[in-house]
Amino acid sequence: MSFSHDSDSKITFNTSGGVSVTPSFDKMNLKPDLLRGIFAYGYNKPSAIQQRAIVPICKGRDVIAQAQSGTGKTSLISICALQRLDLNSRDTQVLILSPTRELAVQIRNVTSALSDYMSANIHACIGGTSTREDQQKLEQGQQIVSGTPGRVFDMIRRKAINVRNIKMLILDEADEMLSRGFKEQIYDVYRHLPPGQVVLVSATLPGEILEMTSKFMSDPIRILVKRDELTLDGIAQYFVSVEKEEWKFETVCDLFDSLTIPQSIIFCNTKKKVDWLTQKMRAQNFTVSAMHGEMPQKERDLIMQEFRSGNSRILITTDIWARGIDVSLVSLVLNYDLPLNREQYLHRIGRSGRFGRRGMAINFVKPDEASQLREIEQYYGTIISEMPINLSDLV
Amino acid sequence: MSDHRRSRRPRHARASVGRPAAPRRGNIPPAAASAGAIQFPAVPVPLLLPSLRRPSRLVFSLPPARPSPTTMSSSDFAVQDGSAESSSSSETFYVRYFMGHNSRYGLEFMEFEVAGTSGRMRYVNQSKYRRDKIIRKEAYLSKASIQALQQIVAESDIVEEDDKLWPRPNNSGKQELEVVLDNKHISFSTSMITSMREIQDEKDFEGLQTYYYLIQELRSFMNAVISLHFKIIPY
Repeated sequence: MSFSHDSDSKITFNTSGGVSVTPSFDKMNLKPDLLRGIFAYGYNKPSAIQQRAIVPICKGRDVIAQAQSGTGKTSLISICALQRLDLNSRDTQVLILSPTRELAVQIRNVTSALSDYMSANIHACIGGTSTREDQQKLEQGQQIVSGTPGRVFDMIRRKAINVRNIKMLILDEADEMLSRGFKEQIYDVYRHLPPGQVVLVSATLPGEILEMTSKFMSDPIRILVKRDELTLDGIAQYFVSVEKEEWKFETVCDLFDSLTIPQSIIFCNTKKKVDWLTQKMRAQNFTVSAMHGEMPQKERDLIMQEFRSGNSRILITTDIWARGIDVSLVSLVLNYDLPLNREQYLHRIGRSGRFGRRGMAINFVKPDEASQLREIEQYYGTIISEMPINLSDLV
Repeated sequence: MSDHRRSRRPRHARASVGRPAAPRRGNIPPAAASAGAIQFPAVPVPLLLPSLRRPSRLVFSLPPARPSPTTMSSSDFAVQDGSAESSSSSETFYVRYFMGHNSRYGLEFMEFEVAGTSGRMRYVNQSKYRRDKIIRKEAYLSKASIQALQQIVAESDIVEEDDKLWPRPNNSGKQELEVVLDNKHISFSTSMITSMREIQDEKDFEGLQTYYYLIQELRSFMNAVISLHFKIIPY
């Protein structure tokens, strides 16, 4: 077989033909106990991606599923994992990998909530926790393992996870998992698994990632969304031009003084800046929490809990929080620094406006970054307007 | 920097004078520009503007090998026969907007056009960012939406403006706005205006402000139209 970049560049990826739409959960041939769990969890009608992806995944096909942020991708993963499970066997059958620990835990939580009426064992296998405990839990037999690549690989190497009966590998935030930094780790895990089903899920799937999929997926069904249909209409996007870096802080304070927002997230590009901003905001009597990757896992868990329960209202964080995490009350995302790539922008603003709710995103833009934001705006065919002064009237 | 300014594309406020065949910016020969052109599939195109004879195909020209923003030319709707225009009715309405820039991902641009008589709307979004591909969309708008759009354009009084004093397209990008409205035909080009702050000190602040607000409205309108036509409600 010959290979040429020339012919490669002509390949286009579109949603596969013949993807059928199943408009209700009842008609998806799901296990009755799972169905009960789904309805009990409060889902009535499947979202667009669920209508299209659940059936082929449950049939055992390799699937690449793309959908806007906050439209039910995590629950899609959970439902499919539970449906594919053979409850008579206690072996590990489904492996779900995510880029961050919080996300792996969230998937575990959603999956166990949906499995209320089934007896499925689901385990979150993440770094920063006791290896011994992890090992013990896994040896009891966990049918679904949701984890981060490093710890999962470690457990496979220690033979704590029995890979022999794993029939399904799911990569959440697949583009992140297959980009530099994670790719090798994913490969390490992948080569230990027996041949089986692979499912990729993400809100953003750049062409270069889709090209890569032919290496480890067989005839996948693609359910894709064009980049100019990816932004959600429910999220109003604004920018504030800030002449100098130092003026950003004042602007933040003004903003939070004038707005009453249930919960909001401030994104910075570095851990150092998160710490610095947290300190400065606390000095101004704002109650804020902060989270980044250098904190011990215990502290991260605590902050997650605080934020999820609504006890803290402003969270200052890095891109560790950009993907996947679902806190439905978040209605404002503030990019204190512009994100480093275009995908990240979409994921960040997608922390607000969850599942049809209204949201708002505000970007601080220095003069030299203005064109960068315009590029993002143009690329996603969306509109990021200058923030009006009477913003508090709009909220 | 006035010597930096090139000769401008002839504009026809009232085109009783015929425009030279296919006027083109910069100094690339027409053949070179269309060599790398991305072309719409050769669908038989109804005459969008009965009054304006135009090429039977939209041609989006890519920039020449060494891109210089001044020669970065987008679609080229040549008005070849000005005399026909003078007989057009006041209903003739046409809008085209282009924004684009050269980045390390090649030429990235977004362009849309609406032809009032047929109601045909076309939209293109090109980027090679992480091996992305061009997106094309096409739809027909109802009379009511065309009227709404026409009203937006008419109320802005953009056809009374002139881009003589506006910032020229530069390295950070280029915008073009072409409007045919009530026998007036304008074709403006300017740099990527990123915020109001940027135009505050411009000589023709008022004109640019009109332009800036109109573009926002046009884009919102088109965004709404395109998502209504093509987006699947994700929930």
